[in-house]
Amino acid sequence: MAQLTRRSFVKTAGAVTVVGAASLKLLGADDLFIETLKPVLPRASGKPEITEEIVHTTCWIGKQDCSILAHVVNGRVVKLEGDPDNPRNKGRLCPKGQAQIISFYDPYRVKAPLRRVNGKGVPGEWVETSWDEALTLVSDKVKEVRAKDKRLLVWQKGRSKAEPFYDNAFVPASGATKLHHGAFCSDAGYRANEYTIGFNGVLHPDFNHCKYLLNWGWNIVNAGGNKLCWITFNQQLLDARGRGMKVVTLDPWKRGAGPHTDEWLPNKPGSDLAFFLTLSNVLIERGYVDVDYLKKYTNSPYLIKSDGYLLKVDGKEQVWDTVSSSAKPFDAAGVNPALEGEYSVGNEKVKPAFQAFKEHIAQYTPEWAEDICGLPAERIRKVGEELGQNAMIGSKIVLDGVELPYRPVGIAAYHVTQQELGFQACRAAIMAFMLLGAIEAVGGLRSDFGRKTHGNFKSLDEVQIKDPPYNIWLQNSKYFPINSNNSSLVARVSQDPGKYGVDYTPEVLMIHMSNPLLSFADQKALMEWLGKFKFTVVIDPWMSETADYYADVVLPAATIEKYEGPSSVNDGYNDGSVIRTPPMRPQFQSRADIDIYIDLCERAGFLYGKDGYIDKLNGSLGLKDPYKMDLDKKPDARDIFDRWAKSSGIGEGVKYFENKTVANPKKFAIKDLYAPAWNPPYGGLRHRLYGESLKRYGEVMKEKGTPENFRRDYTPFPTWRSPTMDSSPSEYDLYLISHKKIMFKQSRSTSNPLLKELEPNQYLEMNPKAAEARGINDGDEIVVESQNAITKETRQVKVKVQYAEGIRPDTVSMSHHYGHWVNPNVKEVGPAPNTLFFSGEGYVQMTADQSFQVKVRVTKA
Amino acid sequence: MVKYAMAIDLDRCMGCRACMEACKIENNTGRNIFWMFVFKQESGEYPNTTTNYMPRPCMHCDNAPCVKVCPVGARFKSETGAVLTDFDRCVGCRYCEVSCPYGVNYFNWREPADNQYYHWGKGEAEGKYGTADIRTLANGSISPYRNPTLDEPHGAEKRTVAGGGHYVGVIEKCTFCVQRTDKGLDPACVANCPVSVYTFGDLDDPNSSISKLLASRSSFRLLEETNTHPRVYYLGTPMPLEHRKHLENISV
Amino acid sequence: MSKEELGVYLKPFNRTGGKFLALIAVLLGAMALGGYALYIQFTEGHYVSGMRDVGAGGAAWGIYIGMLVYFIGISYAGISVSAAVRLLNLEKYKPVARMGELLTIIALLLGSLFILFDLGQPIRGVINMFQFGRPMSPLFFTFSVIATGYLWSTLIFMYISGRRDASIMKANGLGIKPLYTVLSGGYVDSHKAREKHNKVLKALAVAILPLLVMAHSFLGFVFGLQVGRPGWYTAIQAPAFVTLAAASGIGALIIISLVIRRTYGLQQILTQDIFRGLGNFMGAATGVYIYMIISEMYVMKYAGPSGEVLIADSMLSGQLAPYFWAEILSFIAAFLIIFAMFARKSYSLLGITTSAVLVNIGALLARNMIIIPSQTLGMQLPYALGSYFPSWIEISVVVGLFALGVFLYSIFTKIFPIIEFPEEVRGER
Repeated sequence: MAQLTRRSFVKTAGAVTVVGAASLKLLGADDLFIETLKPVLPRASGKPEITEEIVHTTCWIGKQDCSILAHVVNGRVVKLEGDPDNPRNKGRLCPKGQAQIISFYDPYRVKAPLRRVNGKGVPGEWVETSWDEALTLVSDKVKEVRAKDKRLLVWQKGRSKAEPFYDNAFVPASGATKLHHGAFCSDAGYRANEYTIGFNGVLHPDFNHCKYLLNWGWNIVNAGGNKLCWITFNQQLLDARGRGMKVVTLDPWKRGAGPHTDEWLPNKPGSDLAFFLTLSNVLIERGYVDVDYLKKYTNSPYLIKSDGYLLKVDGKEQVWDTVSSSAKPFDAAGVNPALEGEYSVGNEKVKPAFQAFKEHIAQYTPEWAEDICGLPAERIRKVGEELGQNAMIGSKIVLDGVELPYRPVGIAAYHVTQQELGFQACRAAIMAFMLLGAIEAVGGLRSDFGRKTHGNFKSLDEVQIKDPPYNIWLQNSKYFPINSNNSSLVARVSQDPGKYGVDYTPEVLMIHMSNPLLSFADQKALMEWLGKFKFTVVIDPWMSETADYYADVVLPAATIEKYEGPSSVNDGYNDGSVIRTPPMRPQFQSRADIDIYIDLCERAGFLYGKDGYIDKLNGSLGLKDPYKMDLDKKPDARDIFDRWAKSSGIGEGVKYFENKTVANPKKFAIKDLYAPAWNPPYGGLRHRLYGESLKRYGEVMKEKGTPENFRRDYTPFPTWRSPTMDSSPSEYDLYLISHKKIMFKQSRSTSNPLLKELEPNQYLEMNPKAAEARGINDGDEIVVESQNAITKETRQVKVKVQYAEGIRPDTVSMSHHYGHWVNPNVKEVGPAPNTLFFSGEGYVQMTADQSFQVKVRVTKA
Repeated sequence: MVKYAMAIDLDRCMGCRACMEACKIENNTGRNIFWMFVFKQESGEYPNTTTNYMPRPCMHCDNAPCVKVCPVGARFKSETGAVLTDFDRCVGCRYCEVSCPYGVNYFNWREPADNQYYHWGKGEAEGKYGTADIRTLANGSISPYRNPTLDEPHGAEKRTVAGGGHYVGVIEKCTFCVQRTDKGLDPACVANCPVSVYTFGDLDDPNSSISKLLASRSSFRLLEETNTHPRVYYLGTPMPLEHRKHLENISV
Repeated sequence: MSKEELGVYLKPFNRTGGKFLALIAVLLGAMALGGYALYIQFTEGHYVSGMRDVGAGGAAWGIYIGMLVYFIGISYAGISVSAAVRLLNLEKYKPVARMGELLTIIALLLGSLFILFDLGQPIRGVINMFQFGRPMSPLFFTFSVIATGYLWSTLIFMYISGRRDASIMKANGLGIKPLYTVLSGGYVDSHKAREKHNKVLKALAVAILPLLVMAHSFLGFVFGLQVGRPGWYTAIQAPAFVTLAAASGIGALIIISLVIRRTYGLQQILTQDIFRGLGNFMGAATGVYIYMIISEMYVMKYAGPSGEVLIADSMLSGQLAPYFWAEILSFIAAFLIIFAMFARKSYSLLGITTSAVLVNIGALLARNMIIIPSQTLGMQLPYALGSYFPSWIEISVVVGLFALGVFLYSIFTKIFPIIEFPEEVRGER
């Protein structure tokens, strides 16, 4: 280090000498030019007193409910940091988690209860009211409509937070019709899992042991969706890659997952069902079949009659016993059932379900799939073979002294179901992993972290399809026997209730932290629907587009600064509970959501007494005596959590969460972690390779006169057909898909100026070759026009093009997070793709799930 | 002596930019100022494309061009090797900015009130939807989440170097989070990275995690040919530097 | 020398008409605009300029620095001619010596103001430069050597060379008496005094010439030492700065002399011969500079790293090509005009002036082309390419400062003889 300091320089030398010294040093020492010692510049003293404290809380944006240490200085939150105790985020936060700090201070929050003074369907004009006036106004409407018919009250919530308070207590106490945020998400996938293997969740990998991962989309690193998608998956993925896990990505656009992908299969949008069916074809052709698992734990050996129904004797499914060469009940002692062949039982020609599957799947060769998926046959075959090889069928592993099947091949495909054939595509994917015996095997396919059999395994098999009238979301209807409750569909139905056999129109709508106009497909239909309500109240920290156009009253909710919960910290291997504690008091005049609900229930007359809100809360929170709340005493949020904490064995009560993060932390025991180790394995289920009831539903629908396009996919094995969008005229020559980004949560956080800065604009992502062929340059503004193949309706938006090399030339993509027009931070940044998607037949299919794919054409603006 | 350095594992980065946000909040930087920046780009042609992410903090060069050119010694090398800016002394000539090959310097073109995420100084603080002035709530602090401890002087000479006053007409850049490293904490980006891309520590301590990491894996530094001797080491697959096709753009 | 002959030198004092006042009014208007722009800039911050951060889409140094370099370059001319006159006894050029000195002083003043207005903290800039100035920074010399040393030396030089004229003015009872009393500083014209005077000036000229080369070189080094900016980092940056300074400075001197010659009808004193000599020198310097650009561009394009090639391409055939080729063509045309006249041994004032104007247009472009592309296109990490265009604020400040320069020059011609009195003029009573 140089001993020459600036000061000594100046002291000893005039400018000329300095020049001389500098030029002498020029040749050798860099040190001279590096300032190392500095004179002290005295600063004003009298530093203000600073008080700093740390508050334990949880994130409020995403689904992970990451634990947060809020740094509070002089009463202001100055930083949110991840809490290392939570296994989900391990001391880290995603960009949203960091940036949400600005929401405490956001001047565009709804700061006081507001009442609309102008007509609906246009930007709202608002007057500030007192909480008392606003609550009275809302509760009077709720009271009035409940007195008439409880079904006329509709309730919708945006995020899966604090379900015990809202979904599981308010909904039953009020009797409101609950609309799901689902169907928009991955509900078809949940239904496919519940129906096929009886677990709650959608196609997760077992990262701790997986060695070969088939990855759909970029959810694993970037996109949103499943509870672990933002931080936990990324960590687990990278650790697995560190151990040598290979990743094959199936996605028309390679982006987020790009650096973590070994092989990229850019398939055509909407072709996933074909791809997964072809995987099964390759696995069976090459003999990658776990016969033992199929025989013991699936309905593969069940005998099917020539009419397609299962052969049953005394209500019991039969198998062909190879020992006695006769049909026997599947659970008879000592049977060794056949998986293949054709047999005769009495006059009946029968064959095992697996044989039927094999015959069904034989048509789906890689060569067949080549055009449909837009992938070379040999690449599909290669993935099938690698999957088969890596599955190590028959291998076992001992973990913590428990011997388990070992199948280190996984799949991550959370949002694969956001397409017309989503339910069956998801089922087809599960079936490929059933062939490998990888269901819940170590390293294999996991569903989620429900450690028990889901009731829907049985109930989805026993749906009684009713005749009209139906409720507003067509539950158990002849249109959607397995129904995921889709808001776009509800909007569609309410346009013409009679057509769908619905005999009422809801009158009062409560929207809690949801923005249907931007979140769901088919904005046009949603607008008509929202305009029909006589009264709408929105509980939200911000003025959403929905609120601005259709709310009569907007009640300002707090963001993080409130008690809420409890949430699980399950990361797939560990568990525990956290709650949200307020690091500051609710800002402006906003209030904690729970407080708002309690007041509303009280004023609307269903807080107290049996089946009131308190009573339902006692149940939904699982409060045990003596911690149950009195049914006639108004509770307080902190007190409720105190009771909940004590009731769940936390002696300190709610105080615990002021000093610590995770309560009741635990690591799952191996026998609880993998279903084959359960007692009985897989909960005693026979996984449903053959979906007999799907066939039955299809036939009942036919009898009841359901149009063909509602019922054509009710087949016992997933069956390929081209999606409706493909019948759009050929000038609609591009597939439009939508994508999500890790910087945003749905449509919500786009208005956060910190996040918006990272991704300021909507773009139509387009392959440069495809764009150049149409004379479109990078950055050009173009018109995207979508076409509904059934109604022939067309829709248009204007958007800027961004070249993306990693996207299929026949596919374009728009981000889901834009299209706002109320918050000044995000005005005019580009349209929402949801305005181009359609709801209704062909685009809402099977389980009432929404397809976020459509055929479009682009022209220069 | 402590010799701070950072290692960045490019093979782990997923381009989420959480580090950029952690840095922003920790240091209260304004709009379009990214002390930490993550490049995202793709190269190649469909279907043979490669996606790359590359974080870029200040390199804290040992032979820092910015320190050499500063006419008033506002830019200096601290005892720990961090290249810091004395916000009280900077005259705003931006010579450091043009001398830096890495583009890590940011000038405060505006008053903080105008340069923060809301125009706190210009009436926007009242916002809409009900009355309340956020400035009262924030106790006059700009931005409201600004940590007052940033104003504390650092180092033997007690200079104002942390976080940045973000005074108009003054340059600023990454400080390796001097306010955190002085307390023995990792810089905000390092502490927050969801996938542990970063390793930070003392190169003079052979047992520090960074010393061990650099001893066990091959690493490179950016633009080594410019003889800047950066204190930021990269591990894993390099990003093509002359390529300029971005995956996303930051607002400018 | 007769009174009439002396009267020729005093023409500028006598011809103050409506046109002059109109010019002053226009200049004051332009200066007011510049002042208003500066007021906005220093209340709102430099955000109102077209400058933005390097890497975030812009250039951190814009036309202020471009103009600084241009004006410092211009400053070369006067003092070098003046010094040459003293050193080499080039009596022929004596009539333009004072014009040159004044040009140098005003150009340096404008250059310094451009630095000051470019600073985010101008007041701190002045204070801290004294308190903490670091000679290790190339910018230090721009502040110290150029803005202070060079400016002061020239002022002293001009003062000393002007003492005699001041005393003559005083002796003849012309102009503003108190001013001349002060400026003559007790000088009484006599043969002996004149000799002593000339000796001092010669010594000063000897001292100033290296300072001249150094000052212009160091401005070159402000850029040429920066390895981080493709297009700047080159060993010929300093010589190229000196060369272009010579060409543009002499060119500016030619233009100014010509304007003064025509405005005040000084054809007798400012002979064509002077312009021919200055023109030849300018032409030669321009020729050398063209050679330097070509060799620099050749190296950048042929052997440069990708950043250099990107900038070279952008200048040769990309978005910057119009500016670059306008610059090159200006220089080449200027050179060819002079060369043609040289070859035919027939000079025209129009030709020389055209050439001088072209050289200065080229220099203005060249200075900005050195500074800006290396920032907007010269990122070595893959930032998005930037762009820069001066805002109306910057343009107004430039216009205002130009106006200030012209204003000062015009006023000077009214209060002091802009052409040094010849030897024959006697101030002795």
